[in-house]
Amino acid sequence: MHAYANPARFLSLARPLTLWFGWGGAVLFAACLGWGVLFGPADYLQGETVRILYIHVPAAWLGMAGWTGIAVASAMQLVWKHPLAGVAARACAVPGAVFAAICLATGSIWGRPTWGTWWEWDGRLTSMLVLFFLYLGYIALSAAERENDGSDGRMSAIFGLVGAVNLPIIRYSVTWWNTLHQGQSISLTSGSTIDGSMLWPLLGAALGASFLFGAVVLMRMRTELARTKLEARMRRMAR
Amino acid sequence: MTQSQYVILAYAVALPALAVLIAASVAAMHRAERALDDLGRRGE
Repeated sequence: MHAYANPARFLSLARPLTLWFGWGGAVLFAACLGWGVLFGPADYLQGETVRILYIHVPAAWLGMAGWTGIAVASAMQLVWKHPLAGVAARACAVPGAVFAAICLATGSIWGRPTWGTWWEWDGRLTSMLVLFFLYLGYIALSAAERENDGSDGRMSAIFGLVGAVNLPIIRYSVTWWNTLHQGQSISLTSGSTIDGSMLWPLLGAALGASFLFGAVVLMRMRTELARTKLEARMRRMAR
Repeated sequence: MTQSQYVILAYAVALPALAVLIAASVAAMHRAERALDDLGRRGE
């Protein structure tokens, strides 16, 4: 990890990885989405609306994974002062916000035929909405810090770490409170209550979306590194 | 609305948002890296 804190070494790895993650993720995501949506079974209780699962659940996981990425990179930025850690944290913000927004929108659309309402202020929905607002705050704060030449990005790193307190709240909201949202149905330790005919396309779509997320993060990191280099050269030319 | 129409609506919202995110990220990366290359070629 420490070896790739060097921007030149990072770029030599990021260029091929962007292509592999991007195309591999797109193919896997499209194939598994098609598998689940077109050929997967309807649910005995929810009927056809269960097909929203294949986009809603990966979006929820990646919305939370994005902030986990921000928190880990922010910790590395504050502790080791890695030059790339702040870049990585900022690169996670926009894709994380988009996936959180997709999760909220598809969840709302799924809620209308299932619960009879577009929105309910219960634990899971509200904590996910808070995550989306945290993303917006982080994006605004980090952009403002970048405008300020003297800033080392410490404020947004601290914000990224503090905001991570919302992640366990989202995760355990369905356990701690009585909510409309269903409880946990996929677990690494106690097995899954979803049938394999839905579980495998769901896991495939989530893996594909994760690769796409990775590709977007790498692209945004490459963009920021190129812009930083460009600005430095322009400043040298202006002198 | 039928159940299938809700499914279509969900994907009609989600997939374009994802496509815009990817397209915007690709375009911004190419623009920034091309600008850096152009400056390098001019010998700066």
